[in-house]
Amino acid sequence: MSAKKRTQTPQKQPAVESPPFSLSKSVQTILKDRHPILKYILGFIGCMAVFYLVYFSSFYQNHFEKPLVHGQAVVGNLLLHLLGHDTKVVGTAIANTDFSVDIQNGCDGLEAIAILVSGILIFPASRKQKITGLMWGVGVLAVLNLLRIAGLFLAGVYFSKTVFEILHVQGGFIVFTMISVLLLFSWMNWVMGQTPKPAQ
Amino acid sequence: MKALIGPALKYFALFLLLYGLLTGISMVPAVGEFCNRMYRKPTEPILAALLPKAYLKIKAEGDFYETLRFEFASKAKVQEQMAQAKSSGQAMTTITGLHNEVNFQNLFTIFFLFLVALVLLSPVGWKQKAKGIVLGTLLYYLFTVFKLYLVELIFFNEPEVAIYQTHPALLSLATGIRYCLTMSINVLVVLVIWAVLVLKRDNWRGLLGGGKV
Repeated sequence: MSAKKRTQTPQKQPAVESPPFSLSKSVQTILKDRHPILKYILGFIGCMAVFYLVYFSSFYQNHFEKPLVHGQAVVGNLLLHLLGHDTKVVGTAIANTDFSVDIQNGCDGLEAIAILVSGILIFPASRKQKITGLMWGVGVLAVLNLLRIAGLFLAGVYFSKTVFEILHVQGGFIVFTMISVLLLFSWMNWVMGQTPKPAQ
Repeated sequence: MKALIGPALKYFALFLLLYGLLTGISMVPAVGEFCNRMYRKPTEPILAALLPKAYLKIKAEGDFYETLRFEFASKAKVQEQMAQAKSSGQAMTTITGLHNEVNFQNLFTIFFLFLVALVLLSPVGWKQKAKGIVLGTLLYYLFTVFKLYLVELIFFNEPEVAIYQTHPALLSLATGIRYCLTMSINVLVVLVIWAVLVLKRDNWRGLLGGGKV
């Protein structure tokens, strides 16, 4: 990643006719502008593809999915008990007499975590920096997801179905993913701040 | 790292504000109706061309126009019934169609607004933002049309509908792809579109107000 600002002062050039539009040159300019970003995005897509291969596999779904969401339901239930709610865990659901929230595949926060992990793994950083980012990032997202599950239960109890749906979809997919992206960008900025700027 | 938390929180607050505002606007019935109409207008002929064995009509439903209702009938069955009516001397015949529904907000609106918020908060000029929104919307729209095509193709292959009899291998491929195209994939598609269209080698650090490289 280039880290040098252009400081050259523009010099007066004799007036020349602008060259005719060339598609190949435009594409070349776009690729040159975005080269490291496109490379990064391709690597990111590759990592996410590997994640989804595992995530959608019957092996993961038969052996890991249920225990994971059950564990999240148990911790979410614990949080709700701390807030004074008489809830219980039924399989992968948290329920009381008024409402129940079933944690399903997709609500486990793993996809947002995978975005962060993929982004960190393919970024040019030292092993130590990557481990730091992974530990902090995954930890923060895992805790936030548990809070999200408990929060969704409370939204279901105290608000209408529409509010619950908005918080579920918008909060679950958009805001939670955005937190993951922001953690990734913060980490990347931190890494760039630590790395000595390369000479051009 | 601590110095980055402030800008990240500021960005997050701005994002929540902008995204919340856009979501609020999209829930005004007139805006919802407009978005739904604008989406249906090009989608209906595209899907009709992709699925030529069916007569297809897309309508809007719901208080916030949040549902796309697909009404369809098999062209072969319609022609058959019309021929029967003609041979029996009837001037008119009634044809019963079928329908299925897709949540328009979960398919398009929510993620389109996510894209708009991402682009608007990006460290690029207004011209680039406008370009990013137009191109990004087009790309995401095409992705959703592909998703709808799969949904309808799979539905048209169901025994009680039977408009299509796609080869089993192709049908299981379509079903597999459709199964994987979850809402999280929608988010991922939007993120990739945004990154490809907006981020460059010298601007990505500016996203969180960090030093421009």
